Amino acid sequence: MIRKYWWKILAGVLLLYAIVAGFIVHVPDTMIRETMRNLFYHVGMWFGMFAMLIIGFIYSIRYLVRFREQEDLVAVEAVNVGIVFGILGIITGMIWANFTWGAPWVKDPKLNGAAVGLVIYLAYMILRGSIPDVHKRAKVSAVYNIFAFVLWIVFVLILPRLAGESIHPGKEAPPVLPMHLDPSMRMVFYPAVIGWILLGIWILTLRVRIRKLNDLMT
Amino acid sequence: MNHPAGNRRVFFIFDPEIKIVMLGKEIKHLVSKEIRLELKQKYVINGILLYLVSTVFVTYLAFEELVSVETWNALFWIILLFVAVNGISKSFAQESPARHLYYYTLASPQAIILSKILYNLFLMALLSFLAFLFFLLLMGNRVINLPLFILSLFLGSLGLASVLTMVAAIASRASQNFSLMAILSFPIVLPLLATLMKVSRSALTSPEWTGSLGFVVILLTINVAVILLAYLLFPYLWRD
Amino acid sequence: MEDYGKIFVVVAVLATILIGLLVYLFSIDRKVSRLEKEIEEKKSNADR
Repeated sequence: MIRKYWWKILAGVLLLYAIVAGFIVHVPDTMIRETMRNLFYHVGMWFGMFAMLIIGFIYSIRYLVRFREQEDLVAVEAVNVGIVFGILGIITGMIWANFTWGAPWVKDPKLNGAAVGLVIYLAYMILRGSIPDVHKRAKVSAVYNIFAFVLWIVFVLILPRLAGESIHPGKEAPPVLPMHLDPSMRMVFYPAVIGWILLGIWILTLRVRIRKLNDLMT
Repeated sequence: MNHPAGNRRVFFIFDPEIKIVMLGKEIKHLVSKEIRLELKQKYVINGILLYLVSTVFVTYLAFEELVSVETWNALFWIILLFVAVNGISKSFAQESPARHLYYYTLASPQAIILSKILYNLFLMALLSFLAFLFFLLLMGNRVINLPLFILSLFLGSLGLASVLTMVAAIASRASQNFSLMAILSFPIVLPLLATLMKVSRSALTSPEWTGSLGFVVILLTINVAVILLAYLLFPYLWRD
Repeated sequence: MEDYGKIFVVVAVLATILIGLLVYLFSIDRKVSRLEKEIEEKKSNADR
């Protein structure tokens, strides 16, 4: 399954579609007008990150069940790719925010949550770096990953509540939930998200394979 | 189900009440041991109290006039956070390896983590109460909704104790230095702290409860989730 | 924007970037597959 090409080509096609159709599709007339198209790309990064971190979470649990080193490898590389998506998401968000709100960063629960989330996983990488023994490292980082992920989810789900409670509506950007999305935009959004996630999985599998090869060489 | 310790009665799987009772007894025993130890040595508590008093005093000196509510709130929780990290980071470092092995082959890992969390909860409750008193003394009383504030103190103590104890457990397995503990704990604790600050801020500004109830529920959820996770995950850290 | 057609320049640029990166990923993928096959063969040769 990992070595098959069809789903990788699918990812490429979906993303190409997202880029082309993303510019052609009609966007509703809101304050931010054409920049709304960023939804397909910037928000796609977040969904990609989400998917990667969920995979990492699952594989950390699987590692604690069976203690197979392969599963720890998948977990750490999933976090790696998730961090990359997260950084790209934040950077693209800052670019978009700068044009829309006038500043690259505002004190907003969603943004702060995203930043803290990233730091949580950077701490994961630091934790791994500090344990030389392979088995101990895998075990301890699996425990931390599970712990951190659950907390992270709780916080990310809190944010809508916090935003609801505060005066600031959370984001002046268009609603990010697909349910609120204009139907014509939905047709581009869903495939785009799937494309980004597939791309993330592809990069993940490549990284894991390269790691295994490296381990075999040494 | 995979159980780490060897000497368990064989019918525990079928008898949950006995299991819970045994767990409770173990926890009570461990907690009282920790308290007795601490009262004897007073090692940790003295250091922490000194730290608390000095930090509050520094903030007292730093501000000429009466601080704003925001500042009061922020300073209070920041100081409490640092005190907590300092105090709890030592949770897993104290025992000598020999005594370590002796004690803990006798108790189940779940009992150990829960007892440490409980002990740290007592510690944090005491410290937060003292911090509040010092703040009242030196920084003035800005609390309008006292019951809500006390609630936030309690939830904060529980939250900080459980999260930081678990992180201390993780960090102790990695390396013994304090900086790792700090690095790991700060990002995880930040959202907890932000929610706490929201609750206490409304306690400082208005007598109403309605706005904060949602946050209180969130705090309760976080606490429950953390303790549950600690209970489930700690045995994996414990096996050596 | 006065000239709507110009936006397709951006589309072309992005599509190029995307295709370029995908080709790069494909080439990495192929290299890894080749390496894996080599190691498999070496292992089966060593077993014999």
